[in-house]
Amino acid sequence: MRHIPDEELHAYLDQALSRSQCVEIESHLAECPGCSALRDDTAALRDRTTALLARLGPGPIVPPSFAILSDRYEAERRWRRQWTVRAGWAASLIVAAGLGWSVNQRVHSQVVRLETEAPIAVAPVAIRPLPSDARPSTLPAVQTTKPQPTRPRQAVALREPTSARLPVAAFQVADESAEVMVASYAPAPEGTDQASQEVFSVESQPAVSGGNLQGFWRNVGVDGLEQSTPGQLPRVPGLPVIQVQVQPGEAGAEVTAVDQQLEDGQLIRTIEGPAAKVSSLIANQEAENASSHQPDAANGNQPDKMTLTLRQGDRMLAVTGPSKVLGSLMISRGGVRRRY
Amino acid sequence: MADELEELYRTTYPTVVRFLYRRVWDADRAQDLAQEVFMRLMAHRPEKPRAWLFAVAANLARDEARAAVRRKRHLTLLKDDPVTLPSIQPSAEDTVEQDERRSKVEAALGALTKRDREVLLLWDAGMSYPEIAQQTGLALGAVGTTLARARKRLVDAYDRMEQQSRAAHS
Repeated sequence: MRHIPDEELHAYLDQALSRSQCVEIESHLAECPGCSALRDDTAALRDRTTALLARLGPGPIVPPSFAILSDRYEAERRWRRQWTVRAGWAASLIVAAGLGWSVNQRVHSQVVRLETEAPIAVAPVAIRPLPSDARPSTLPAVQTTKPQPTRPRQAVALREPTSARLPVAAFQVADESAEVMVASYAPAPEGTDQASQEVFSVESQPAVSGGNLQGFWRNVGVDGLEQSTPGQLPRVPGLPVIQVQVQPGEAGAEVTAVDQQLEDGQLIRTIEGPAAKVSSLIANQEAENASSHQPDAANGNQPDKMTLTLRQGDRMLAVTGPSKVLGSLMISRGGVRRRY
Repeated sequence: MADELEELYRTTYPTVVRFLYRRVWDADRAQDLAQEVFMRLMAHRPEKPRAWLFAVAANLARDEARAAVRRKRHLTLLKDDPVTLPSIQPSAEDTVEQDERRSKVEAALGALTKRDREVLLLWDAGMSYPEIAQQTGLALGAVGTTLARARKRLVDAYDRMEQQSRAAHS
């Protein structure tokens, strides 16, 4: 005869057994006094446990109204939904800001690399005035540290790598013999399109300088301008500055005109600013020149002044001065070296 | 469905609070947790709501106990006191004798293993053997064995404390 194990008696008293198991246990208990006594002990233990645990009760429990709980649930659900939407917007803004920052960093790093890492070969060339029929075959060629692209360079000029404006020190007139410093531009890195490799375009034309500039201009002090934007004043190095005028505009859209005096008293005017504005000013100068120098042109005399313009993107630098001085600027254009 | 939920809430809420109270030893906190359990029930609408209720309640009580231990440990670090588990604070209405008995039961319950205590409290909360087995991961046949052992150990531990108390008083 199989006696009833302890755990089975617990399960029996807890009503955790099937009906057939209960019948089997009850029939055994009726015949076995030992198991019956054990059943009583187990029942007492069970009741005592229940009584002990009942002492740990938190006291009378009155459940709050189910309606209150439902309202609280609805309010919390609404709040969670709103929070989710707001969190989504916040996350979107953060992602957008991160993307913007990343793109900005990438663009900035490329600009810095162009300005700092790309070799800017500055090859000063001392040019003496030569007879007009002489070919400058003995002049040293403009040097670059990298092989130039197959497309011929259209211009050469000194540039200041960190300046956002057009090169300031475009020319350097050392003495009366009109020595000119010429430098090559930085070759564009591989992978950029051909058009963007043209850093400057240079043109020259007869002109008049020293006339009045059209439009509203404001005279500014040279020292103050040099202190606020050191190295960015467009001028010919080595010549005294006698006047600086600024045509106000939006950030980066202002036009700066610098008048300098040569040793012989003639003026050189350097105008730097947005290409459209500078072109307009030069065109006005040309018109003025055409009306005032008609007889000279009719006689076939070459005007004694000329304008040399350098263009980079939407910025333009125009230098107007005696053709003798500016004409000594050597540029390489179309594979043919020309002297003006 | 709402009526079923309301009926379940009405009949089960006190049991859930009692179950939680024996885990967190704080009546107000037990009520808060019980309401949290029923709000989760409204959101999830499980197939077996009663078993689900106690499973969630056990999880919340476990999280609460961990948080309480962390808080206590933090305070202990500040006060340089030894770490002790949270205990019942006697209320003004309770007599000294009732407090002593309650403390002894609590201490006896604390003397059980984690598994034994879990099974005992779930059974006391009215859960069936299959529900206890499902929640604790025990085999169905092991629930009776665990429960028998837990009951015996609880009563033995309580009687031992009573004897020690009597010896101390005499």
